[in-house]
Amino acid sequence: MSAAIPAPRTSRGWSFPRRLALVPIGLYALVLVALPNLLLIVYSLWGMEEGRLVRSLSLDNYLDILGSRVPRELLLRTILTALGAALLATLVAYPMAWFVVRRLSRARLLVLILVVVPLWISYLVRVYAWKIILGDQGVINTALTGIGVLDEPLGFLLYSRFAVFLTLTYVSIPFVFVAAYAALERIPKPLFEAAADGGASPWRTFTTVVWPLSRQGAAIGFALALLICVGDYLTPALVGGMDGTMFGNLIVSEFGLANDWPRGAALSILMLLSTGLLLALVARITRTEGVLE
Amino acid sequence: MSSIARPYPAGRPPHARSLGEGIGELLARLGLLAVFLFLYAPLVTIALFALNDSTIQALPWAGFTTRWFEALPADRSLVAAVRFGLTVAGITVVVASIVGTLFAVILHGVRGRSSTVLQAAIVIPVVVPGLVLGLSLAITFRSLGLQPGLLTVVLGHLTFTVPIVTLLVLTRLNRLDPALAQASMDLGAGPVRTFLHVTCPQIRTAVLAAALLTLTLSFDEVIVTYFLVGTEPTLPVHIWAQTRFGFTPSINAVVTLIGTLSVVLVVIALRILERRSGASGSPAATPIDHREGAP
Amino acid sequence: MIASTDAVVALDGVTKRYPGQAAPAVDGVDLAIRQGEFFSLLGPSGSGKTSCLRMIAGFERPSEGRVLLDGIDVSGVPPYRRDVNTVFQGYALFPHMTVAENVAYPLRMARRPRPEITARVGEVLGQVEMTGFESRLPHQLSGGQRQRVALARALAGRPRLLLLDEPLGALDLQLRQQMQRVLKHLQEQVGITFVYVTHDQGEALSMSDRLAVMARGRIEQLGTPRDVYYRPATPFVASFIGKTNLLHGSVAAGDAGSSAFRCADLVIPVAGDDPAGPATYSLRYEAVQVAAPPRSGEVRLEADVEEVVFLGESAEIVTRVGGVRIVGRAPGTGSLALGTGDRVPVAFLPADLVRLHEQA
Ligand SMILES: Nc1ncnc2c1ncn2[C@@H]1O[C@H](COP(=O)(O)OP(=O)(O)O)[C@@H](O)[C@H]1O
Ligand SMILES: [Mg+2]
Repeated sequence: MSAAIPAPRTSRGWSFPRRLALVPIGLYALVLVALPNLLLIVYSLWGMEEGRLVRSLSLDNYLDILGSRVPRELLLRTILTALGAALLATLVAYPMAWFVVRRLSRARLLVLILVVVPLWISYLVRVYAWKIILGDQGVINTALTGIGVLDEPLGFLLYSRFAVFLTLTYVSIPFVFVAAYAALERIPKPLFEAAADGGASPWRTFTTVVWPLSRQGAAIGFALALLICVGDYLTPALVGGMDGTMFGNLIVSEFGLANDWPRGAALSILMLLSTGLLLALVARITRTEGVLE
Repeated sequence: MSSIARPYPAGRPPHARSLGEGIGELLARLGLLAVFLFLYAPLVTIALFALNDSTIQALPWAGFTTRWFEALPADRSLVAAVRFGLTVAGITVVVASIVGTLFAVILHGVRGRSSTVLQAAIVIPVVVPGLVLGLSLAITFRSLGLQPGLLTVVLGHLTFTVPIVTLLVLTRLNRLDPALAQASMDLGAGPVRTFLHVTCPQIRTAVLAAALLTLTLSFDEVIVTYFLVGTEPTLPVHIWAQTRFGFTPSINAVVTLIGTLSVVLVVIALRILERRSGASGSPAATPIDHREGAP
Repeated sequence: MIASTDAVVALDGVTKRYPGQAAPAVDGVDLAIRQGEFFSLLGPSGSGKTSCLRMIAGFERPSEGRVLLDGIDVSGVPPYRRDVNTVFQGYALFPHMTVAENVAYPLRMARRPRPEITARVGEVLGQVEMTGFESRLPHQLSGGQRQRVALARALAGRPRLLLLDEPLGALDLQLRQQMQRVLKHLQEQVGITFVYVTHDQGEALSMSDRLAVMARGRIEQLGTPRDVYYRPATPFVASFIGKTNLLHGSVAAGDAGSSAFRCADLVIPVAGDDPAGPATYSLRYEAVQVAAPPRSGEVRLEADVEEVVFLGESAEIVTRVGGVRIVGRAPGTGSLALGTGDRVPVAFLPADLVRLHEQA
């Protein structure tokens, strides 16, 4: 990694203190970042009564949410599903990126582009496509019953937690791949040779050099995937059915139908806290010291 | 150690390894193929059903038609949604590119703790789950008395596009050789002219790449946008509303059209960027944002 | 082709072609390096030195020919099963490991017991004078320190053979000279065979027991530093190492068993057994004395000074003798009196003329 190049300081003849230049950024951050987050917290402490906002601070929303079974279980299930999908995506994308970096040379860029292209196609529609593929008369079931493998379509394919899990894995793979690829490609090639030179088999080269130097990148991809999966309410709504409902759907319904924004805010904060905790843990586990030059 | 080559395990001639390696390589390639099948199955499905002569999006195949494409211009609400989405994306691209670049230049010029903190602060909306961002913005805009509509949607999109532009441009600025700017000032150009004549040309490709990314991000955003729209939907929000009832294949058609168009556009843009400055590194879009249509 | 079986490493008719490259990077190299030797591969950039080294280490396979380690053909033996270690051109230290962990790496890979590893790491770090830096990370070290750690890591597993690819290339002059002494001393101390790649003739001459001069993938000459310097085999070697006058002409037999070398309008007596015919001779700058008192048996010619290049302790005097340009060397102080257009005597001993083989 190249060291940050200090900007030439001395030769710019600005007549006012340089730090004043930060003021516009400060204002922007105040209005579009600090204020929304602050208001989210404040709202989560307010309440609703007969459709009217009650502006008095209390922890009632939180106590109520954590006290009832459904949101609690939904949060846990959402986090487990998101974790699982992000993990599976990492297990697919990381080895793939490693193979591409190590074994392909001319085809490398092509593979990278082919992985990224699906991201250009509307997210919503990619998710909807799985509905077409997994349905009772979808591509898979029709094919399987057509060739006589099945008598009846597989019901669990669509409107299930399986469908949500599969779709979330699907949308996660490109993100993990790009992050892992970027990290793996940055490892200087001579380090692989130095490891082999020191007597390390390919597997031990991987465990002692490649993984420690790329796990932070893999973790960034994993974290991105986790963030998408945790907060996605489109996928459960499209392919999840009743079984596949996730925490995000709960928040959206508080925003829409139920029109209880304070409760929605409290749910959001709980989601933020739990994912934040998880990501901190991931960052902790994958920390590596040292600087790549 | 008497022999310099560490001996092989008994019965394992040197070339056994390369055979095993060959099989491993084959398996890896097959795996790669499988992943690509998985990644492209939905895209192919959508394109196929845009050409299927049936309102029911299921097999069996009902025959080939282009009628879904032909029906597009007549769908008033769809056309309106596309137009509104483009308006939002257009404004977002222009504002985010200018503001984001400005922020990057400032952050590059002013080092120190407060600058680092601000940089981290503006990135927060990118790393927060989309629906949390959406809800918090909806709350904010309501508290400020802003009516949901064009303004709220654009402001919402700015929260996650400005930091992306800033980061991309800042990365480029950090990679520039400071000697060039110093040389320029040494040759008598003031800070402003140095910026215009020396720095600008060098960050231009980064700004263009960021603008391109912003365009696709904004046009395809739905998770945050859903919380901010008034009566007029953007295209994805319109589609989202349609899916409640199971949408018609015309949606497949419009998405196929837009998807093809944007891939072509991006490829052309990358070509142009590459030709203009082969040396300045591939602006190949890097999906920084976790929300839907990163580049 | 390779006779000596006591060679630690031998290249036997080794050729290396890279895909998409017209000329082979290494072209039919035969080489045998003895136990305990400090052997250098010297040549300009692109002459195939690194390629040779990488084939010995196992990172590349020869397109033709064999690499023998201790007499065993090691084609197909991966690098991690060769008892050979490399000091890489850019050091290739593991950035996420401390100095101690880097040095311990080959020992860990060989699954040595922990106490042994600790003791050995301390010992090698002592040998390269890096004691006290155990817990630093590579990016916290200077270039010279990294170089020492790379050396320590390569030595830690006591390999039979140590390969060094321009290990001092990135260091400044002073540090390089210091490290040359450290390296040479260390090699004598540990008794490991060194194969040392460099494009710096001074380095190769001062450190090596023997060296091979390479050009365009071939070995031009193989011998001791003195051989190569005083008895260059080809015009390439003569001009790549040190500074020399190349005199082109032809040899003809004279009377009474003597021969004469005719070069433009000069006639210079040479050894009688030099075969007649077209010939090129090398005459080192320092063998040519300018405006010096006469010695017995020397060839003495009248020359016109064309240019005086002052170098400090010495000066190079470019002269013209009839149609031949001859450069000689004079002490720096002696050059003060000389100027362009002066007519001076230049002199050399016939024994300093070295007959070169024409290149194929
Ligand atoms: N991996 C490679 N692929 C293609 N050509 C190479 C490769 N490595 C070296 N070469 C070419 O082989 C020739 C010899 O290179 P090298 O062995 O590195 O020489 P040296 O170390 O003497 O500079 C050069 O012309 C170089 O361009
Ligand atoms: Mg080299």
